[in-house]
Amino acid sequence: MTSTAAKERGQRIAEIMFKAGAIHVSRQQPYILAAGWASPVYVDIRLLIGEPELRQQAVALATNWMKEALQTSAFDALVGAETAGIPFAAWIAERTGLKFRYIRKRPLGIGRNAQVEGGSIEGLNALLVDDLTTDGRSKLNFVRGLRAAGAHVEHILTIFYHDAFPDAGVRLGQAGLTLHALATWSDVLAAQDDGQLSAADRQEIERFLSDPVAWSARHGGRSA
Amino acid sequence: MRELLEWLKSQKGGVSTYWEFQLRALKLRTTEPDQAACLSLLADIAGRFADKYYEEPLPVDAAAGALDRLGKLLGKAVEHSDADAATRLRVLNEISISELEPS
Repeated sequence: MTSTAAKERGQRIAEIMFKAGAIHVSRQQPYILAAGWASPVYVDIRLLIGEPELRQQAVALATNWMKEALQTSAFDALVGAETAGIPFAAWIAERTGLKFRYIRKRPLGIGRNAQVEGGSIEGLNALLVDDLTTDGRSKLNFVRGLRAAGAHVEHILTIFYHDAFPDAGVRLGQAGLTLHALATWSDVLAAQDDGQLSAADRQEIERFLSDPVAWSARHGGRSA
Repeated sequence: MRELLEWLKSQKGGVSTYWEFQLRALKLRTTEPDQAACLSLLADIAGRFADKYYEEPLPVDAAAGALDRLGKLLGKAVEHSDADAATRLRVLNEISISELEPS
Protein backbone atom coordinates (compact mmCIF):
# COMPACT_ATOMS: atom_id res chain seq x y z
CA MET A 1 0.00 0.00 0.00
CA THR A 2 1.48 3.37 -0.98
CA SER A 3 1.33 6.21 1.48
CA THR A 4 -0.32 8.36 -1.19
CA ALA A 5 -3.14 5.84 -1.62
CA ALA A 6 -3.59 5.63 2.14
CA LYS A 7 -3.66 9.40 2.42
CA GLU A 8 -6.25 9.76 -0.33
CA ARG A 9 -8.36 7.04 1.24
CA GLY A 10 -8.10 8.71 4.64
CA GLN A 11 -9.23 12.06 3.29
CA ARG A 12 -12.14 10.48 1.43
CA ILE A 13 -13.26 8.70 4.60
CA ALA A 14 -12.94 11.99 6.49
CA GLU A 15 -15.08 13.74 3.87
CA ILE A 16 -17.70 10.99 4.19
CA MET A 17 -17.63 11.48 7.95
CA PHE A 18 -18.25 15.20 7.51
CA LYS A 19 -21.14 14.56 5.09
CA ALA A 20 -22.70 12.17 7.60
CA GLY A 21 -22.34 14.74 10.39
CA ALA A 22 -20.24 12.22 12.29
CA ILE A 23 -17.85 14.73 13.85
CA HIS A 24 -19.36 16.54 16.80
CA VAL A 25 -17.50 19.42 18.41
CA SER A 26 -18.42 20.64 21.87
CA ARG A 27 -16.35 23.60 22.98
CA GLN A 28 -18.37 24.26 26.14
CA GLN A 29 -18.84 20.72 27.42
CA PRO A 30 -15.92 18.43 26.46
CA TYR A 31 -16.25 14.66 26.29
CA ILE A 32 -14.38 12.21 28.45
CA LEU A 33 -12.94 9.39 26.36
CA ALA A 34 -12.79 5.81 27.63
CA ALA A 35 -9.30 6.20 29.09
CA GLY A 36 -10.20 9.41 30.92
CA TRP A 37 -8.78 11.92 28.43
CA ALA A 38 -10.88 15.01 27.75
CA SER A 39 -11.60 15.82 24.10
CA PRO A 40 -13.63 18.55 22.36
CA VAL A 41 -14.77 16.07 19.71
CA TYR A 42 -17.00 13.03 19.61
CA VAL A 43 -17.02 10.88 16.49
CA ASP A 44 -20.13 8.85 15.64
CA ILE A 45 -19.27 6.50 12.77
CA ARG A 46 -22.68 4.85 13.12
CA LEU A 47 -24.14 7.77 11.18
CA LEU A 48 -22.43 6.35 8.08
CA ILE A 49 -24.46 3.17 8.38
CA GLY A 50 -27.78 4.84 7.80
CA GLU A 51 -27.04 6.65 4.55
CA PRO A 52 -26.87 4.35 1.50
CA GLU A 53 -24.53 6.46 -0.60
CA LEU A 54 -22.16 7.23 2.27
CA ARG A 55 -21.98 3.68 3.56
CA GLN A 56 -21.40 2.35 0.05
CA GLN A 57 -18.52 4.76 -0.41
CA ALA A 58 -17.04 3.89 2.99
CA VAL A 59 -17.38 0.16 2.42
CA ALA A 60 -15.84 0.47 -1.05
CA LEU A 61 -12.81 2.21 0.49
CA ALA A 62 -12.58 -0.42 3.22
CA THR A 63 -12.83 -3.17 0.62
CA ASN A 64 -10.10 -1.48 -1.36
CA TRP A 65 -7.90 -1.56 1.76
CA MET A 66 -8.81 -5.23 2.27
CA LYS A 67 -7.74 -6.19 -1.23
CA GLU A 68 -4.36 -4.53 -0.70
CA ALA A 69 -4.01 -6.14 2.73
CA LEU A 70 -4.85 -9.59 1.38
CA GLN A 71 -1.71 -9.43 -0.74
CA THR A 72 0.38 -9.64 2.44
CA SER A 73 -1.97 -11.21 5.00
CA ALA A 74 -4.14 -14.26 4.42
CA PHE A 75 -7.40 -13.57 6.23
CA ASP A 76 -10.01 -16.31 6.36
CA ALA A 77 -12.72 -14.37 8.12
CA LEU A 78 -13.91 -10.89 8.97
CA VAL A 79 -15.28 -10.48 12.47
CA GLY A 80 -17.60 -7.59 13.27
CA ALA A 81 -17.34 -6.20 16.79
CA GLU A 82 -20.62 -5.57 18.61
CA THR A 83 -22.31 -3.37 17.67
CA ALA A 84 -21.22 -0.93 14.97
CA GLY A 85 -18.47 -3.19 13.65
CA ILE A 86 -20.99 -5.84 12.64
CA PRO A 87 -22.58 -4.15 9.61
CA PHE A 88 -19.25 -2.89 8.28
CA ALA A 89 -17.67 -6.34 8.56
CA ALA A 90 -20.70 -7.94 6.90
CA TRP A 91 -20.65 -5.53 3.97
CA ILE A 92 -16.88 -5.94 3.44
CA ALA A 93 -17.19 -9.73 3.70
CA GLU A 94 -19.92 -9.65 1.08
CA ARG A 95 -17.68 -7.74 -1.31
CA THR A 96 -14.55 -9.83 -0.68
CA GLY A 97 -16.20 -13.24 -0.44
CA LEU A 98 -14.57 -13.94 2.95
CA LYS A 99 -16.25 -15.70 5.84
CA PHE A 100 -18.10 -13.52 8.32
CA ARG A 101 -18.53 -13.81 12.07
CA TYR A 102 -19.47 -11.39 14.79
CA ILE A 103 -18.38 -11.13 18.38
CA ARG A 104 -20.31 -9.98 21.43
CA LYS A 105 -18.82 -7.72 24.09
CA ARG A 106 -19.11 -10.66 26.46
CA PRO A 107 -20.32 -14.27 26.26
CA LEU A 108 -24.08 -14.67 26.27
CA GLY A 109 -24.03 -16.40 29.66
CA ILE A 110 -26.60 -19.06 28.77
CA GLY A 111 -26.73 -22.13 26.55
CA ARG A 112 -23.37 -22.68 24.83
CA ASN A 113 -22.17 -19.36 26.29
CA ALA A 114 -20.97 -18.17 22.89
CA GLN A 115 -19.15 -14.90 22.38
CA VAL A 116 -18.51 -15.51 18.67
CA GLU A 117 -21.49 -16.09 16.39
CA GLY A 118 -21.86 -17.19 12.76
CA GLY A 119 -19.97 -20.46 13.03
CA SER A 120 -16.70 -21.76 14.40
CA ILE A 121 -13.72 -19.43 14.30
CA GLU A 122 -11.25 -22.09 15.43
CA GLY A 123 -8.09 -22.13 13.36
CA LEU A 124 -9.14 -19.20 11.17
CA ASN A 125 -7.03 -16.11 10.52
CA ALA A 126 -9.45 -13.40 11.56
CA LEU A 127 -9.51 -9.67 10.95
CA LEU A 128 -11.43 -7.83 13.66
CA VAL A 129 -13.50 -4.95 12.24
CA ASP A 130 -14.96 -2.10 14.28
CA ASP A 131 -16.16 1.43 13.67
CA LEU A 132 -13.54 3.28 15.70
CA THR A 133 -10.74 2.99 18.21
CA THR A 134 -10.01 5.29 21.11
CA ASP A 135 -7.89 3.64 23.81
CA GLY A 136 -8.00 0.11 22.35
CA ARG A 137 -9.28 -1.60 25.51
CA SER A 138 -12.52 -2.82 23.96
CA LYS A 139 -10.54 -4.20 20.99
CA LEU A 140 -8.38 -6.18 23.39
CA ASN A 141 -11.49 -7.58 24.99
CA PHE A 142 -12.81 -8.73 21.62
CA VAL A 143 -9.45 -10.22 20.63
CA ARG A 144 -9.26 -12.14 23.92
CA GLY A 145 -12.66 -13.64 23.11
CA LEU A 146 -11.61 -14.54 19.58
CA ARG A 147 -8.33 -16.11 20.71
CA ALA A 148 -10.13 -18.05 23.40
CA ALA A 149 -12.36 -19.45 20.65
CA GLY A 150 -9.27 -20.59 18.73
CA ALA A 151 -8.90 -17.79 16.16
CA HIS A 152 -5.56 -16.35 15.04
CA VAL A 153 -5.83 -12.57 15.35
CA GLU A 154 -3.02 -10.14 14.61
CA HIS A 155 -4.79 -7.30 12.81
CA ILE A 156 -7.65 -4.91 13.53
CA LEU A 157 -9.36 -2.62 11.03
CA THR A 158 -11.36 0.42 12.11
CA ILE A 159 -12.92 3.16 10.05
CA PHE A 160 -11.52 5.85 12.32
CA TYR A 161 -8.80 6.00 14.97
CA HIS A 162 -8.99 8.75 17.58
CA ASP A 163 -5.20 8.92 17.57
CA ALA A 164 -4.65 12.06 19.62
CA PHE A 165 -3.42 10.00 22.57
CA PRO A 166 -0.80 7.25 22.45
CA ASP A 167 -2.59 4.60 24.52
CA ALA A 168 -4.10 2.36 21.87
CA GLY A 169 -1.07 1.70 19.67
CA VAL A 170 1.11 0.73 22.62
CA ARG A 171 -1.57 -1.37 24.30
CA LEU A 172 -2.47 -3.28 21.15
CA GLY A 173 1.18 -3.71 20.17
CA GLN A 174 1.91 -5.38 23.50
CA ALA A 175 -0.82 -7.90 22.66
CA GLY A 176 0.73 -8.69 19.28
CA LEU A 177 -1.84 -6.66 17.37
CA THR A 178 -1.54 -4.13 14.56
CA LEU A 179 -4.22 -1.48 14.24
CA HIS A 180 -5.17 -0.32 10.75
CA ALA A 181 -7.38 2.76 10.53
CA LEU A 182 -8.83 4.10 7.31
CA ALA A 183 -8.75 7.64 8.71
CA THR A 184 -7.19 9.51 11.61
CA TRP A 185 -7.24 13.11 12.82
CA SER A 186 -4.64 14.22 10.26
CA ASP A 187 -7.06 13.09 7.52
CA VAL A 188 -9.92 14.99 9.13
CA LEU A 189 -7.91 18.20 9.29
CA ALA A 190 -6.80 17.82 5.67
CA ALA A 191 -10.29 17.04 4.33
CA GLN A 192 -12.91 19.39 2.92
CA ASP A 193 -15.44 19.70 5.72
CA ASP A 194 -18.36 20.62 3.46
CA GLY A 195 -19.24 23.53 5.73
CA GLN A 196 -19.82 21.22 8.68
CA LEU A 197 -17.21 22.82 10.91
CA SER A 198 -17.30 26.45 11.95
CA ALA A 199 -13.98 28.30 12.01
CA ALA A 200 -14.15 28.28 15.81
CA ASP A 201 -14.73 24.52 15.88
CA ARG A 202 -11.81 23.88 13.55
CA GLN A 203 -9.58 26.14 15.67
CA GLU A 204 -10.61 24.23 18.78
CA ILE A 205 -9.75 20.89 17.16
CA GLU A 206 -6.40 22.26 16.04
CA ARG A 207 -5.70 23.61 19.56
CA PHE A 208 -6.62 20.22 20.98
CA LEU A 209 -4.48 18.27 18.54
CA SER A 210 -1.46 20.55 18.99
CA ASP A 211 -1.16 19.33 22.60
CA PRO A 212 -3.92 16.84 23.50
CA VAL A 213 -2.54 16.04 26.97
CA ALA A 214 -2.42 19.69 28.03
CA TRP A 215 -5.87 20.32 26.51
CA SER A 216 -7.24 17.34 28.45
CA ALA A 217 -5.74 18.54 31.71
CA ARG A 218 -7.21 22.02 31.25
CA HIS A 219 -10.70 20.58 30.60
CA GLY A 220 -11.19 18.09 33.42
CA GLY A 221 -9.55 15.04 31.90
CA ARG A 222 -6.36 13.12 32.51
CA SER A 223 -3.07 14.99 32.54
CA ALA A 224 -0.71 12.05 32.14
CA MET B 1 -12.27 -1.98 50.00
CA ARG B 2 -10.03 0.84 51.24
CA GLU B 3 -7.48 0.08 48.52
CA LEU B 4 -10.27 0.10 45.95
CA LEU B 5 -11.35 3.51 47.21
CA GLU B 6 -7.80 4.85 47.01
CA TRP B 7 -7.49 3.52 43.46
CA LEU B 8 -10.81 5.12 42.49
CA LYS B 9 -9.65 8.49 43.82
CA SER B 10 -6.74 8.39 41.38
CA GLN B 11 -9.01 7.91 38.35
CA LYS B 12 -10.40 10.46 35.89
CA GLY B 13 -13.61 8.55 35.19
CA GLY B 14 -13.61 7.48 31.56
CA VAL B 15 -15.62 4.36 30.72
CA SER B 16 -12.51 2.22 31.24
CA THR B 17 -12.45 3.29 34.90
CA TYR B 18 -15.84 1.63 35.44
CA TRP B 19 -14.91 -1.57 33.63
CA GLU B 20 -11.73 -1.77 35.71
CA PHE B 21 -13.64 -0.93 38.89
CA GLN B 22 -16.10 -3.74 38.12
CA LEU B 23 -13.28 -6.27 37.67
CA ARG B 24 -11.47 -5.13 40.82
CA ALA B 25 -14.64 -5.18 42.93
CA LEU B 26 -15.63 -8.66 41.77
CA LYS B 27 -12.12 -9.97 42.38
CA LEU B 28 -12.03 -8.43 45.85
CA ARG B 29 -14.96 -10.62 46.93
CA THR B 30 -12.62 -13.56 47.33
CA THR B 31 -10.31 -11.74 49.76
CA GLU B 32 -13.06 -9.79 51.54
CA PRO B 33 -15.97 -12.26 51.63
CA ASP B 34 -17.70 -10.31 54.42
CA GLN B 35 -18.16 -7.46 51.91
CA ALA B 36 -19.13 -9.65 48.94
CA ALA B 37 -22.72 -8.42 48.67
CA CYS B 38 -21.65 -4.79 48.81
CA LEU B 39 -18.88 -5.33 46.25
CA SER B 40 -21.30 -7.10 43.90
CA LEU B 41 -23.75 -4.22 44.08
CA LEU B 42 -21.04 -1.65 43.45
CA ALA B 43 -19.69 -3.71 40.54
CA ASP B 44 -23.19 -3.85 39.03
CA ILE B 45 -23.63 -0.09 39.27
CA ALA B 46 -20.25 0.57 37.65
CA GLY B 47 -20.94 -2.00 34.93
CA ARG B 48 -24.31 -0.49 34.07
CA PHE B 49 -22.75 2.94 33.74
CA ALA B 50 -19.92 1.63 31.52
CA ASP B 51 -22.35 -0.26 29.29
CA LYS B 52 -24.50 2.84 28.89
CA TYR B 53 -21.64 5.10 27.84
CA TYR B 54 -19.59 2.56 25.90
CA GLU B 55 -21.18 3.70 22.66
CA GLU B 56 -22.39 7.13 23.68
CA PRO B 57 -20.52 10.38 24.37
CA LEU B 58 -19.68 10.96 28.01
CA PRO B 59 -19.77 14.69 28.79
CA VAL B 60 -17.20 15.92 31.29
CA ASP B 61 -19.84 16.96 33.86
CA ALA B 62 -21.52 13.54 33.74
CA ALA B 63 -18.13 11.87 34.13
CA ALA B 64 -17.23 14.00 37.13
CA GLY B 65 -20.64 13.49 38.73
CA ALA B 66 -20.54 9.72 38.27
CA LEU B 67 -17.05 9.44 39.71
CA ASP B 68 -18.11 11.51 42.70
CA ARG B 69 -21.23 9.38 43.29
CA LEU B 70 -19.33 6.09 43.04
CA GLY B 71 -16.66 7.42 45.38
CA LYS B 72 -19.28 8.46 47.94
CA LEU B 73 -21.07 5.11 47.79
CA LEU B 74 -17.82 3.20 48.19
CA GLY B 75 -16.70 5.60 50.91
CA LYS B 76 -19.91 4.98 52.84
CA ALA B 77 -19.47 1.23 52.46
CA VAL B 78 -15.90 1.46 53.78
CA GLU B 79 -16.98 3.69 56.67
CA HIS B 80 -19.66 1.23 57.78
CA SER B 81 -17.87 -2.01 56.91
CA ASP B 82 -17.52 -2.93 60.60
CA ALA B 83 -20.89 -1.55 61.70
CA ASP B 84 -23.78 -3.59 63.11
CA ALA B 85 -25.90 -5.73 60.77
CA ALA B 86 -28.79 -3.27 60.60
CA THR B 87 -26.52 -0.40 59.58
CA ARG B 88 -24.76 -2.48 56.94
CA LEU B 89 -28.11 -3.61 55.56
CA ARG B 90 -29.21 0.02 55.32
CA VAL B 91 -26.05 0.85 53.33
CA LEU B 92 -26.58 -2.15 51.06
CA ASN B 93 -30.15 -1.08 50.36
CA GLU B 94 -29.03 2.45 49.60
CA ILE B 95 -26.40 1.19 47.15
CA SER B 96 -28.84 -1.22 45.54
CA ILE B 97 -31.14 1.59 44.41
CA SER B 98 -28.37 3.96 43.31
CA GLU B 99 -27.23 4.85 39.80
CA LEU B 100 -24.22 6.89 38.77
CA GLU B 101 -26.02 9.35 36.55
CA PRO B 102 -28.58 11.79 37.96
CA SER B 103 -32.18 10.58 37.62
